[in-house]
Amino acid sequence: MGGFRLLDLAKFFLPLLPECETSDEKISVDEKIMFTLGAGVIFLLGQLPVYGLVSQASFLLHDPISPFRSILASEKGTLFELGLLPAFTAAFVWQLAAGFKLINVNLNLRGDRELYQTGQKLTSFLLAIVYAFGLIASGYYDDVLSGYNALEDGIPYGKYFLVFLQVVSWSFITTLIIEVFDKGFAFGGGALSLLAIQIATNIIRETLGLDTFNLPNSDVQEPVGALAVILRKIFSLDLTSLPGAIKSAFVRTNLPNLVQLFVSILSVLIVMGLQNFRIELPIRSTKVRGMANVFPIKLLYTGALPIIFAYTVLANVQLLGYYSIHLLQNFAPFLATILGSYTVDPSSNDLVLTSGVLSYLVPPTGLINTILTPIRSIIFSTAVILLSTWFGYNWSFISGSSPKDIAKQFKDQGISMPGKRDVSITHELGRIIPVAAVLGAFMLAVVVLAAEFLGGGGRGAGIVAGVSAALSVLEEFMVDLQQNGGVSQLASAFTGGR
Amino acid sequence: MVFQAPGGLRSAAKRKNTADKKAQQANATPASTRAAGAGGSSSTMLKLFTDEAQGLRVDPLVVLILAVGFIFSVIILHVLAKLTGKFIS
Repeated sequence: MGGFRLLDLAKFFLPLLPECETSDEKISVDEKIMFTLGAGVIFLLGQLPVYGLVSQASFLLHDPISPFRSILASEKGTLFELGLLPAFTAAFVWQLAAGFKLINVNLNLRGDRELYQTGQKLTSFLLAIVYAFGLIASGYYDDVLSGYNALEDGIPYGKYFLVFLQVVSWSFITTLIIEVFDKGFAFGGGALSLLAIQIATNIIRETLGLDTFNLPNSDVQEPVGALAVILRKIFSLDLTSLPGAIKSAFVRTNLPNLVQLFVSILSVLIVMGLQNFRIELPIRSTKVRGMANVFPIKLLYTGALPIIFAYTVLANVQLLGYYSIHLLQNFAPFLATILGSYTVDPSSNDLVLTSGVLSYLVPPTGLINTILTPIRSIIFSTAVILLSTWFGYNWSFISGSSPKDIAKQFKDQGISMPGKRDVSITHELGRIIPVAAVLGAFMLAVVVLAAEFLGGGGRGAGIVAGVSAALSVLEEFMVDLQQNGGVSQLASAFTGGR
Repeated sequence: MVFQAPGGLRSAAKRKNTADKKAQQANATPASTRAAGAGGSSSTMLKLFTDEAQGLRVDPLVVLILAVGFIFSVIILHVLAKLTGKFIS
Protein backbone atom coordinates (compact mmCIF):
# COMPACT_ATOMS: atom_id res chain seq x y z
CA MET A 1 0.00 0.00 0.00
CA GLY A 2 1.74 3.11 1.16
CA GLY A 3 1.02 6.62 0.15
CA PHE A 4 -1.35 9.04 1.72
CA ARG A 5 -5.06 8.60 1.44
CA LEU A 6 -7.60 11.30 2.12
CA LEU A 7 -9.67 8.67 3.81
CA ASP A 8 -7.08 8.17 6.53
CA LEU A 9 -7.83 11.65 7.84
CA ALA A 10 -11.13 10.31 9.10
CA LYS A 11 -9.27 7.81 11.25
CA PHE A 12 -8.35 10.44 13.83
CA PHE A 13 -11.99 11.32 14.39
CA LEU A 14 -13.30 7.77 14.40
CA PRO A 15 -13.31 7.34 18.21
CA LEU A 16 -14.73 10.81 18.81
CA LEU A 17 -17.79 10.89 16.60
CA PRO A 18 -21.03 9.54 18.04
CA GLU A 19 -22.17 6.50 16.17
CA CYS A 20 -25.64 4.99 16.17
CA GLU A 21 -25.62 1.27 16.90
CA THR A 22 -27.08 -1.17 14.44
CA SER A 23 -29.62 -3.48 15.93
CA ASP A 24 -28.67 -7.10 16.57
CA GLU A 25 -32.11 -8.49 15.96
CA LYS A 26 -34.51 -7.69 13.18
CA ILE A 27 -36.57 -4.61 13.79
CA SER A 28 -40.29 -5.23 13.39
CA VAL A 29 -42.45 -3.11 11.14
CA ASP A 30 -44.27 -1.66 14.14
CA GLU A 31 -41.05 -0.57 15.76
CA LYS A 32 -39.99 1.02 12.49
CA ILE A 33 -43.26 2.93 12.24
CA MET A 34 -42.82 4.19 15.80
CA PHE A 35 -39.25 5.27 15.15
CA THR A 36 -40.19 6.98 11.89
CA LEU A 37 -43.01 8.93 13.51
CA GLY A 38 -41.03 9.74 16.65
CA ALA A 39 -37.92 10.87 14.83
CA GLY A 40 -40.04 12.83 12.36
CA VAL A 41 -41.88 14.71 15.10
CA ILE A 42 -38.65 15.45 16.94
CA PHE A 43 -37.07 16.64 13.70
CA LEU A 44 -39.98 19.01 13.14
CA LEU A 45 -39.39 20.58 16.56
CA GLY A 46 -36.39 22.21 14.91
CA GLN A 47 -38.76 24.80 13.51
CA LEU A 48 -38.28 26.54 16.84
CA PRO A 49 -36.89 30.06 16.44
CA VAL A 50 -33.26 30.50 17.38
CA TYR A 51 -32.90 31.93 20.88
CA GLY A 52 -31.24 35.31 21.02
CA LEU A 53 -33.02 36.85 18.02
CA VAL A 54 -35.84 39.37 18.14
CA SER A 55 -39.37 38.00 17.77
CA GLN A 56 -40.52 37.36 14.18
CA ALA A 57 -36.89 37.36 13.12
CA SER A 58 -37.76 35.21 10.12
CA PHE A 59 -39.47 38.21 8.53
CA LEU A 60 -36.63 40.59 9.23
CA LEU A 61 -33.74 38.43 8.09
CA HIS A 62 -32.33 39.30 4.69
CA ASP A 63 -32.27 35.87 3.17
CA PRO A 64 -29.88 35.22 0.25
CA ILE A 65 -31.03 31.68 -0.58
CA SER A 66 -34.81 31.90 -0.24
CA PRO A 67 -35.60 30.02 -3.52
CA PHE A 68 -33.52 27.06 -2.34
CA ARG A 69 -34.90 26.76 1.18
CA SER A 70 -37.85 24.51 0.46
CA ILE A 71 -35.89 21.67 -1.13
CA LEU A 72 -33.25 21.80 1.62
CA ALA A 73 -35.89 21.61 4.38
CA SER A 74 -34.41 24.76 5.83
CA GLU A 75 -36.18 27.73 7.37
CA LYS A 76 -34.69 31.06 8.13
CA GLY A 77 -34.47 32.28 11.69
CA THR A 78 -35.05 28.79 13.09
CA LEU A 79 -32.78 25.99 14.23
CA PHE A 80 -33.21 24.65 10.69
CA GLU A 81 -31.19 27.52 9.29
CA LEU A 82 -28.98 25.11 7.33
CA GLY A 83 -31.57 22.38 6.97
CA LEU A 84 -30.33 19.30 5.18
CA LEU A 85 -27.76 21.21 3.13
CA PRO A 86 -24.68 19.86 4.98
CA ALA A 87 -26.00 16.29 4.87
CA PHE A 88 -26.91 16.43 1.17
CA THR A 89 -23.65 18.07 0.21
CA ALA A 90 -21.55 15.59 2.18
CA ALA A 91 -23.46 12.62 0.77
CA PHE A 92 -23.18 13.76 -2.84
CA VAL A 93 -19.52 14.73 -2.58
CA TRP A 94 -18.44 11.42 -1.06
CA GLN A 95 -20.67 9.11 -3.03
CA LEU A 96 -19.84 10.71 -6.36
CA ALA A 97 -16.14 10.76 -5.46
CA ALA A 98 -16.26 7.07 -4.63
CA GLY A 99 -18.27 6.31 -7.75
CA PHE A 100 -15.84 8.13 -10.02
CA LYS A 101 -12.86 6.62 -8.15
CA LEU A 102 -11.58 10.08 -7.24
CA ILE A 103 -10.77 8.86 -3.76
CA ASN A 104 -8.81 5.75 -3.06
CA VAL A 105 -11.31 3.55 -1.26
CA ASN A 106 -12.07 -0.12 -1.57
CA LEU A 107 -15.63 -0.50 -0.42
CA ASN A 108 -15.24 -4.27 -0.31
CA LEU A 109 -13.22 -3.84 2.85
CA ARG A 110 -15.12 -3.27 6.03
CA GLY A 111 -12.49 -0.95 7.47
CA ASP A 112 -12.63 1.26 4.41
CA ARG A 113 -16.39 1.41 4.53
CA GLU A 114 -16.23 2.55 8.15
CA LEU A 115 -13.78 5.30 7.29
CA TYR A 116 -15.85 6.26 4.26
CA GLN A 117 -18.95 6.61 6.40
CA THR A 118 -17.08 8.55 9.08
CA GLY A 119 -15.79 10.79 6.32
CA GLN A 120 -19.35 11.59 5.25
CA LYS A 121 -20.36 12.39 8.79
CA LEU A 122 -17.30 14.50 9.42
CA THR A 123 -17.85 16.43 6.20
CA SER A 124 -21.44 17.07 7.16
CA PHE A 125 -20.34 18.38 10.60
CA LEU A 126 -17.58 20.54 9.14
CA LEU A 127 -19.88 22.01 6.50
CA ALA A 128 -22.40 22.90 9.19
CA ILE A 129 -19.68 24.70 11.15
CA VAL A 130 -18.34 26.49 8.07
CA TYR A 131 -21.77 27.57 6.84
CA ALA A 132 -22.96 28.76 10.24
CA PHE A 133 -19.71 30.66 10.73
CA GLY A 134 -20.00 32.14 7.24
CA LEU A 135 -23.53 33.34 7.87
CA ILE A 136 -22.52 35.04 11.10
CA ALA A 137 -19.36 36.51 9.61
CA SER A 138 -21.34 37.91 6.67
CA GLY A 139 -23.55 39.81 9.08
CA TYR A 140 -26.64 37.72 8.29
CA TYR A 141 -27.89 37.90 11.88
CA ASP A 142 -26.78 41.46 12.66
CA ASP A 143 -30.18 43.09 12.17
CA VAL A 144 -32.11 40.65 14.27
CA LEU A 145 -29.95 40.01 17.34
CA SER A 146 -32.14 41.04 20.23
CA GLY A 147 -30.84 43.87 22.37
CA TYR A 148 -28.03 44.66 19.99
CA ASN A 149 -27.45 48.08 18.54
CA ALA A 150 -24.93 48.01 15.73
CA LEU A 151 -24.08 51.69 16.16
CA GLU A 152 -23.36 51.71 19.89
CA ASP A 153 -22.25 48.23 20.88
CA GLY A 154 -19.09 46.53 19.80
CA ILE A 155 -19.01 43.18 18.06
CA PRO A 156 -21.46 40.96 19.99
CA TYR A 157 -19.28 37.86 20.30
CA GLY A 158 -21.43 36.34 23.06
CA LYS A 159 -24.63 36.56 21.05
CA TYR A 160 -22.92 35.35 17.91
CA PHE A 161 -21.60 32.35 19.79
CA LEU A 162 -25.04 31.52 21.18
CA VAL A 163 -26.63 31.58 17.71
CA PHE A 164 -23.72 29.63 16.24
CA LEU A 165 -23.99 26.99 18.97
CA GLN A 166 -27.71 26.47 18.40
CA VAL A 167 -27.58 26.26 14.60
CA VAL A 168 -24.54 23.97 14.58
CA SER A 169 -25.81 21.70 17.36
CA TRP A 170 -29.12 21.21 15.62
CA SER A 171 -27.33 20.41 12.40
CA PHE A 172 -25.28 17.77 14.27
CA ILE A 173 -28.43 16.32 15.80
CA THR A 174 -30.08 16.24 12.37
CA THR A 175 -27.15 14.22 11.07
CA LEU A 176 -27.56 11.78 13.94
CA ILE A 177 -31.30 11.49 13.32
CA ILE A 178 -30.50 10.74 9.66
CA GLU A 179 -28.22 8.01 10.92
CA VAL A 180 -31.03 6.49 13.00
CA PHE A 181 -33.05 6.23 9.77
CA ASP A 182 -30.16 4.91 7.71
CA LYS A 183 -29.26 2.22 10.22
CA GLY A 184 -32.61 0.61 9.57
CA PHE A 185 -34.56 1.72 12.63
CA ALA A 186 -36.96 3.68 10.47
CA PHE A 187 -38.16 3.67 6.88
CA GLY A 188 -36.21 5.10 4.02
CA GLY A 189 -32.96 6.90 3.81
CA GLY A 190 -32.82 9.49 6.55
CA ALA A 191 -32.27 12.58 4.45
CA LEU A 192 -35.11 11.85 2.02
CA SER A 193 -37.57 10.78 4.71
CA LEU A 194 -36.92 13.93 6.72
CA LEU A 195 -37.24 16.04 3.58
CA ALA A 196 -40.59 14.42 2.79
CA ILE A 197 -41.82 14.95 6.36
CA GLN A 198 -40.75 18.57 6.39
CA ILE A 199 -42.30 19.35 3.01
CA ALA A 200 -45.56 17.58 3.89
CA THR A 201 -46.01 19.66 7.03
CA ASN A 202 -45.05 22.80 5.16
CA ILE A 203 -47.75 22.26 2.54
CA ILE A 204 -50.39 22.04 5.25
CA ARG A 205 -49.02 25.06 7.07
CA GLU A 206 -48.83 27.12 3.91
CA THR A 207 -52.38 26.22 2.96
CA LEU A 208 -54.23 26.29 6.25
CA GLY A 209 -51.76 27.77 8.74
CA LEU A 210 -53.73 29.95 11.14
CA ASP A 211 -50.86 31.68 12.95
CA THR A 212 -50.89 35.31 12.00
CA PHE A 213 -47.89 37.46 11.25
CA ASN A 214 -47.31 41.13 10.98
CA LEU A 215 -46.38 41.68 7.37
CA PRO A 216 -43.00 43.33 6.90
CA ASN A 217 -43.14 47.08 6.39
CA SER A 218 -46.86 47.29 7.04
CA ASP A 219 -49.33 47.09 9.91
CA VAL A 220 -51.56 44.36 8.44
CA GLN A 221 -51.81 41.01 10.18
CA GLU A 222 -52.33 37.99 7.96
CA PRO A 223 -52.39 34.24 8.57
CA VAL A 224 -49.64 32.10 7.04
CA GLY A 225 -52.00 29.81 5.15
CA ALA A 226 -53.03 31.01 1.71
CA LEU A 227 -56.47 29.46 2.00
CA ALA A 228 -56.78 30.59 5.62
CA VAL A 229 -56.83 34.23 4.50
CA ILE A 230 -60.06 33.67 2.58
CA LEU A 231 -61.58 31.29 5.13
CA ARG A 232 -60.99 33.75 7.93
CA LYS A 233 -62.91 36.44 6.09
CA ILE A 234 -65.78 34.06 5.29
CA PHE A 235 -66.12 32.78 8.84
CA SER A 236 -66.03 36.26 10.35
CA LEU A 237 -68.84 37.22 7.91
CA ASP A 238 -66.68 40.11 6.83
CA LEU A 239 -67.93 39.89 3.26
CA THR A 240 -67.16 43.43 2.21
CA SER A 241 -63.46 42.83 2.43
CA LEU A 242 -63.68 39.34 0.91
CA PRO A 243 -62.69 40.33 -2.64
CA GLY A 244 -59.68 42.13 -1.25
CA ALA A 245 -58.76 39.06 0.79
CA ILE A 246 -59.07 36.79 -2.26
CA LYS A 247 -56.88 39.10 -4.29
CA SER A 248 -54.35 39.27 -1.49
CA ALA A 249 -54.37 35.47 -1.19
CA PHE A 250 -53.30 35.24 -4.82
CA VAL A 251 -50.76 37.98 -5.13
CA ARG A 252 -49.03 38.40 -1.78
CA THR A 253 -45.32 37.69 -1.98
CA ASN A 254 -44.27 37.83 1.66
CA LEU A 255 -46.33 34.83 2.73
CA PRO A 256 -47.36 31.73 0.78
CA ASN A 257 -49.99 32.54 -1.85
CA LEU A 258 -52.60 30.58 -3.73
CA VAL A 259 -50.68 30.61 -7.01
CA GLN A 260 -47.89 28.73 -5.30
CA LEU A 261 -50.47 26.32 -3.86
CA PHE A 262 -52.01 25.57 -7.25
CA VAL A 263 -48.60 25.18 -8.85
CA SER A 264 -47.67 22.78 -6.07
CA ILE A 265 -50.82 20.69 -6.48
CA LEU A 266 -50.31 20.55 -10.23
CA SER A 267 -46.70 19.44 -9.90
CA VAL A 268 -47.70 16.76 -7.36
CA LEU A 269 -50.19 15.36 -9.88
CA ILE A 270 -47.65 15.40 -12.70
CA VAL A 271 -45.01 13.65 -10.60
CA MET A 272 -47.52 10.99 -9.53
CA GLY A 273 -48.33 10.46 -13.19
CA LEU A 274 -44.68 10.24 -14.23
CA GLN A 275 -44.06 7.78 -11.43
CA ASN A 276 -46.32 5.25 -13.14
CA PHE A 277 -44.40 5.13 -16.40
CA ARG A 278 -42.29 2.00 -16.53
CA ILE A 279 -40.96 -0.68 -18.81
CA GLU A 280 -41.64 -4.18 -17.63
CA LEU A 281 -39.06 -6.76 -18.61
CA PRO A 282 -40.24 -10.36 -18.49
CA ILE A 283 -38.15 -12.47 -16.11
CA ARG A 284 -38.24 -16.14 -15.25
CA SER A 285 -36.85 -18.18 -12.44
CA THR A 286 -34.23 -20.70 -13.42
CA LYS A 287 -34.92 -22.77 -10.33
CA VAL A 288 -38.68 -23.03 -10.21
CA ARG A 289 -40.45 -24.06 -13.35
CA GLY A 290 -43.25 -21.83 -14.52
CA MET A 291 -42.37 -18.91 -12.25
CA ALA A 292 -42.73 -15.99 -14.63
CA ASN A 293 -42.79 -12.41 -13.50
CA VAL A 294 -41.90 -8.94 -14.65
CA PHE A 295 -39.06 -6.68 -13.59
CA PRO A 296 -40.17 -3.04 -13.74
CA ILE A 297 -37.77 -0.29 -14.74
CA LYS A 298 -39.29 3.03 -13.84
CA LEU A 299 -38.96 6.13 -15.95
CA LEU A 300 -37.96 8.04 -12.81
CA TYR A 301 -35.17 5.56 -12.29
CA THR A 302 -33.25 7.83 -9.96
CA GLY A 303 -36.29 9.31 -8.24
CA ALA A 304 -35.95 12.77 -6.81
CA LEU A 305 -32.18 12.66 -6.47
CA PRO A 306 -31.24 14.53 -9.70
CA ILE A 307 -33.37 17.52 -8.70
CA ILE A 308 -32.03 17.48 -5.16
CA PHE A 309 -28.50 17.30 -6.54
CA ALA A 310 -29.02 20.22 -8.93
CA TYR A 311 -30.51 22.39 -6.21
CA THR A 312 -27.89 21.38 -3.66
CA VAL A 313 -25.15 22.45 -6.05
CA LEU A 314 -26.85 25.75 -6.83
CA ALA A 315 -27.59 26.45 -3.16
CA ASN A 316 -23.95 25.84 -2.31
CA VAL A 317 -22.88 28.19 -5.08
CA GLN A 318 -25.28 30.87 -3.87
CA LEU A 319 -24.27 30.52 -0.24
CA LEU A 320 -20.55 30.59 -0.99
CA GLY A 321 -21.19 33.52 -3.33
CA TYR A 322 -22.95 35.36 -0.51
CA TYR A 323 -19.94 34.86 1.77
CA SER A 324 -17.47 35.84 -0.94
CA ILE A 325 -19.38 39.01 -1.79
CA HIS A 326 -19.27 40.06 1.84
CA LEU A 327 -15.62 39.17 2.10
CA LEU A 328 -14.64 40.90 -1.14
CA GLN A 329 -16.63 44.04 -0.52
CA ASN A 330 -13.93 45.44 1.73
CA PHE A 331 -10.90 44.46 -0.33
CA ALA A 332 -12.02 44.29 -3.92
CA PRO A 333 -15.40 45.92 -4.43
CA PHE A 334 -15.09 45.50 -8.18
CA LEU A 335 -14.85 41.71 -7.92
CA ALA A 336 -17.81 41.70 -5.56
CA THR A 337 -19.95 43.53 -8.12
CA ILE A 338 -18.94 41.04 -10.79
CA LEU A 339 -20.06 38.21 -8.53
CA GLY A 340 -23.35 39.85 -7.79
CA SER A 341 -25.06 42.63 -5.94
CA TYR A 342 -28.05 42.32 -3.67
CA THR A 343 -31.07 44.49 -3.05
CA VAL A 344 -33.65 43.91 -0.39
CA ASP A 345 -37.09 43.02 -1.68
CA PRO A 346 -39.36 45.32 0.40
CA SER A 347 -42.30 42.93 0.62
CA SER A 348 -40.51 39.77 1.72
CA ASN A 349 -37.26 41.21 3.07
CA ASP A 350 -35.35 38.61 1.04
CA LEU A 351 -32.14 39.50 -0.69
CA VAL A 352 -32.61 39.57 -4.46
CA LEU A 353 -29.68 39.43 -6.82
CA THR A 354 -29.94 42.23 -9.32
CA SER A 355 -26.76 41.85 -11.33
CA GLY A 356 -23.57 39.86 -11.51
CA VAL A 357 -22.68 36.28 -12.29
CA LEU A 358 -24.67 34.80 -9.42
CA SER A 359 -27.89 36.45 -10.50
CA TYR A 360 -28.09 34.08 -13.47
CA LEU A 361 -28.27 31.09 -11.16
CA VAL A 362 -31.45 31.94 -9.27
CA PRO A 363 -34.92 30.92 -10.38
CA PRO A 364 -37.20 33.71 -11.61
CA THR A 365 -39.85 34.75 -9.13
CA GLY A 366 -42.87 34.49 -11.38
CA LEU A 367 -44.24 34.39 -14.90
CA ILE A 368 -43.71 38.11 -15.54
CA ASN A 369 -40.22 37.95 -14.13
CA THR A 370 -39.47 34.96 -16.36
CA ILE A 371 -40.47 36.83 -19.49
CA LEU A 372 -38.77 40.07 -18.50
CA THR A 373 -35.45 38.39 -17.77
CA PRO A 374 -35.22 35.81 -20.57
CA ILE A 375 -31.45 35.32 -20.41
CA ARG A 376 -31.55 34.59 -16.71
CA SER A 377 -34.43 32.16 -17.16
CA ILE A 378 -32.62 30.33 -19.96
CA ILE A 379 -29.31 30.10 -18.12
CA PHE A 380 -30.97 28.92 -14.94
CA SER A 381 -33.01 26.26 -16.76
CA THR A 382 -29.95 25.08 -18.64
CA ALA A 383 -28.01 24.78 -15.42
CA VAL A 384 -30.76 22.78 -13.69
CA ILE A 385 -31.35 20.49 -16.68
CA LEU A 386 -27.65 19.86 -17.27
CA LEU A 387 -26.92 19.19 -13.60
CA SER A 388 -29.85 16.85 -13.13
CA THR A 389 -29.41 14.84 -16.33
CA TRP A 390 -25.68 14.56 -15.75
CA PHE A 391 -26.36 13.30 -12.25
CA GLY A 392 -29.17 10.99 -13.37
CA TYR A 393 -26.97 9.37 -16.00
CA ASN A 394 -24.01 8.85 -13.70
CA TRP A 395 -26.03 7.91 -10.66
CA SER A 396 -27.62 5.04 -12.58
CA PHE A 397 -24.12 3.58 -12.92
CA ILE A 398 -22.60 4.28 -9.52
CA SER A 399 -25.49 3.83 -7.12
CA GLY A 400 -25.28 0.06 -7.01
CA SER A 401 -28.31 -0.26 -9.27
CA SER A 402 -26.39 -0.21 -12.54
CA PRO A 403 -27.15 -2.72 -15.32
CA LYS A 404 -24.16 -4.77 -14.24
CA ASP A 405 -25.24 -4.85 -10.57
CA ILE A 406 -28.78 -5.85 -11.45
CA ALA A 407 -27.55 -8.59 -13.81
CA LYS A 408 -25.42 -9.86 -10.93
CA GLN A 409 -28.45 -9.81 -8.62
CA PHE A 410 -30.43 -11.77 -11.21
CA LYS A 411 -27.71 -14.37 -11.38
CA ASP A 412 -27.49 -14.68 -7.58
CA GLN A 413 -31.25 -15.05 -7.24
CA GLY A 414 -31.57 -17.48 -10.13
CA ILE A 415 -33.48 -15.16 -12.39
CA SER A 416 -33.09 -15.07 -16.13
CA MET A 417 -34.79 -13.36 -19.02
CA PRO A 418 -36.49 -15.62 -21.52
CA GLY A 419 -34.52 -15.84 -24.73
CA LYS A 420 -31.46 -14.09 -23.28
CA ARG A 421 -28.19 -15.52 -22.12
CA ASP A 422 -26.75 -14.41 -18.76
CA VAL A 423 -24.13 -12.32 -20.51
CA SER A 424 -26.59 -10.41 -22.60
CA ILE A 425 -28.81 -9.49 -19.65
CA THR A 426 -26.35 -6.73 -18.75
CA HIS A 427 -26.51 -5.54 -22.32
CA GLU A 428 -30.29 -5.67 -22.37
CA LEU A 429 -30.58 -3.71 -19.11
CA GLY A 430 -27.89 -1.31 -20.30
CA ARG A 431 -30.08 -0.39 -23.24
CA ILE A 432 -32.91 0.69 -20.96
CA ILE A 433 -31.61 1.89 -17.59
CA PRO A 434 -29.39 4.83 -18.61
CA VAL A 435 -32.03 6.08 -21.03
CA ALA A 436 -34.72 5.87 -18.34
CA ALA A 437 -32.46 7.61 -15.83
CA VAL A 438 -31.60 10.50 -18.15
CA LEU A 439 -35.11 10.89 -19.50
CA GLY A 440 -36.63 10.69 -16.02
CA ALA A 441 -34.22 13.27 -14.63
CA PHE A 442 -34.86 15.52 -17.62
CA MET A 443 -38.65 15.34 -17.31
CA LEU A 444 -38.55 15.95 -13.57
CA ALA A 445 -36.30 18.96 -14.16
CA VAL A 446 -38.78 20.30 -16.72
CA VAL A 447 -41.65 19.93 -14.23
CA VAL A 448 -39.62 21.74 -11.58
CA LEU A 449 -38.69 24.53 -13.98
CA ALA A 450 -42.26 24.93 -15.13
CA ALA A 451 -43.30 25.26 -11.49
CA GLU A 452 -40.57 27.87 -10.90
CA PHE A 453 -41.55 29.87 -13.98
CA LEU A 454 -45.21 29.91 -13.00
CA GLY A 455 -44.29 31.40 -9.65
CA GLY A 456 -43.79 28.42 -7.39
CA GLY A 457 -41.24 30.43 -5.43
CA GLY A 458 -38.91 27.48 -4.92
CA ARG A 459 -41.76 25.41 -3.54
CA GLY A 460 -42.27 23.61 -6.83
CA ALA A 461 -38.83 22.07 -6.59
CA GLY A 462 -39.35 21.23 -2.94
CA ILE A 463 -42.69 19.56 -3.60
CA VAL A 464 -41.49 17.58 -6.60
CA ALA A 465 -38.53 16.33 -4.57
CA GLY A 466 -40.68 15.72 -1.51
CA VAL A 467 -43.32 13.71 -3.38
CA SER A 468 -40.83 11.54 -5.22
CA ALA A 469 -38.88 11.03 -1.99
CA ALA A 470 -42.07 10.08 -0.17
CA LEU A 471 -42.94 7.60 -2.92
CA SER A 472 -39.49 5.99 -2.61
CA VAL A 473 -39.97 5.70 1.15
CA LEU A 474 -43.46 4.27 0.63
CA GLU A 475 -42.03 1.68 -1.74
CA GLU A 476 -39.55 0.56 0.90
CA PHE A 477 -42.35 0.46 3.46
CA MET A 478 -44.53 -1.77 1.28
CA VAL A 479 -41.65 -4.14 0.54
CA ASP A 480 -40.89 -4.34 4.25
CA LEU A 481 -44.52 -4.99 5.11
CA GLN A 482 -44.80 -7.76 2.54
CA GLN A 483 -41.58 -9.40 3.61
CA ASN A 484 -43.00 -9.57 7.10
CA GLY A 485 -46.06 -11.31 5.75
CA GLY A 486 -48.12 -8.19 6.25
CA VAL A 487 -47.96 -8.65 10.01
CA SER A 488 -48.21 -5.27 11.63
CA GLN A 489 -50.33 -4.65 14.67
CA LEU A 490 -50.45 -0.95 13.91
CA ALA A 491 -51.58 -1.53 10.34
CA SER A 492 -54.24 -3.99 11.46
CA ALA A 493 -55.40 -1.52 14.10
CA PHE A 494 -55.98 1.02 11.34
CA THR A 495 -57.70 -1.36 8.97
CA GLY A 496 -59.92 -2.85 11.65
CA GLY A 497 -58.12 -6.15 12.02
CA ARG A 498 -58.55 -7.24 8.44
CA MET B 1 13.25 -16.85 -33.36
CA VAL B 2 10.33 -15.26 -31.63
CA PHE B 3 7.91 -17.50 -29.81
CA GLN B 4 4.92 -17.96 -32.04
CA ALA B 5 1.65 -18.59 -30.27
CA PRO B 6 -0.59 -21.18 -31.88
CA GLY B 7 -3.00 -19.42 -34.14
CA GLY B 8 -0.69 -16.54 -34.91
CA LEU B 9 0.12 -13.19 -33.40
CA ARG B 10 -3.33 -11.72 -33.73
CA SER B 11 -4.84 -14.47 -31.63
CA ALA B 12 -2.19 -13.90 -28.96
CA ALA B 13 -3.05 -10.24 -28.79
CA LYS B 14 -6.71 -11.08 -28.51
CA ARG B 15 -6.00 -13.53 -25.73
CA LYS B 16 -4.00 -10.94 -23.87
CA ASN B 17 -6.82 -8.46 -24.26
CA THR B 18 -9.42 -10.80 -22.83
CA ALA B 19 -7.10 -11.79 -20.02
CA ASP B 20 -6.52 -8.12 -19.22
CA LYS B 21 -10.22 -7.39 -19.29
CA LYS B 22 -10.94 -10.29 -16.98
CA ALA B 23 -8.21 -9.24 -14.56
CA GLN B 24 -9.53 -5.70 -14.62
CA GLN B 25 -13.05 -6.90 -13.87
CA ALA B 26 -11.82 -9.07 -11.03
CA ASN B 27 -9.77 -6.29 -9.51
CA ALA B 28 -12.33 -3.52 -9.94
CA THR B 29 -13.46 -2.02 -6.66
CA PRO B 30 -17.18 -1.43 -6.27
CA ALA B 31 -18.40 2.07 -7.01
CA SER B 32 -20.74 2.25 -4.04
CA THR B 33 -21.44 0.52 -0.76
CA ARG B 34 -24.52 -1.09 -2.26
CA ALA B 35 -22.48 -2.51 -5.11
CA ALA B 36 -20.21 -3.97 -2.43
CA GLY B 37 -23.26 -5.65 -0.95
CA ALA B 38 -23.37 -3.60 2.22
CA GLY B 39 -26.51 -1.53 1.86
CA GLY B 40 -26.29 2.18 1.21
CA SER B 41 -27.68 4.50 -1.41
CA SER B 42 -29.86 2.89 -4.05
CA SER B 43 -31.03 4.45 -7.28
CA THR B 44 -33.83 6.41 -5.64
CA MET B 45 -32.71 6.52 -2.02
CA LEU B 46 -29.87 8.50 -0.55
CA LYS B 47 -28.32 6.75 2.41
CA LEU B 48 -25.28 8.04 4.19
CA PHE B 49 -24.59 5.88 7.19
CA THR B 50 -25.30 2.20 6.87
CA ASP B 51 -22.18 0.59 8.30
CA GLU B 52 -21.30 0.06 11.90
CA ALA B 53 -18.12 1.92 12.75
CA GLN B 54 -15.97 1.73 15.87
CA GLY B 55 -17.07 5.11 17.12
CA LEU B 56 -18.68 6.33 20.29
CA ARG B 57 -21.60 3.88 20.25
CA VAL B 58 -24.98 5.29 21.16
CA ASP B 59 -28.41 3.76 21.14
CA PRO B 60 -30.90 5.27 18.64
CA LEU B 61 -33.19 6.16 21.53
CA VAL B 62 -30.36 8.12 23.10
CA VAL B 63 -30.06 10.14 19.90
CA LEU B 64 -33.75 11.01 20.00
CA ILE B 65 -33.62 11.84 23.71
CA LEU B 66 -30.60 14.04 23.06
CA ALA B 67 -32.54 15.88 20.36
CA VAL B 68 -35.54 16.39 22.65
CA GLY B 69 -33.24 17.55 25.43
CA PHE B 70 -31.63 20.10 23.16
CA ILE B 71 -35.00 21.40 21.99
CA PHE B 72 -36.18 21.72 25.58
CA SER B 73 -33.10 23.65 26.60
CA VAL B 74 -33.78 26.12 23.78
CA ILE B 75 -37.45 26.36 24.78
CA ILE B 76 -36.43 27.02 28.41
CA LEU B 77 -34.10 29.77 27.23
CA HIS B 78 -36.98 31.33 25.29
CA VAL B 79 -39.26 31.13 28.31
CA LEU B 80 -36.63 32.62 30.60
CA ALA B 81 -36.08 35.45 28.17
CA LYS B 82 -39.84 36.11 28.09
CA LEU B 83 -40.07 36.03 31.89
CA THR B 84 -37.21 38.35 32.63
CA GLY B 85 -38.10 40.46 29.63
CA LYS B 86 -34.46 40.86 28.97
CA PHE B 87 -31.86 39.19 26.89
CA ILE B 88 -29.40 37.25 28.99
CA SER B 89 -26.15 36.51 27.28
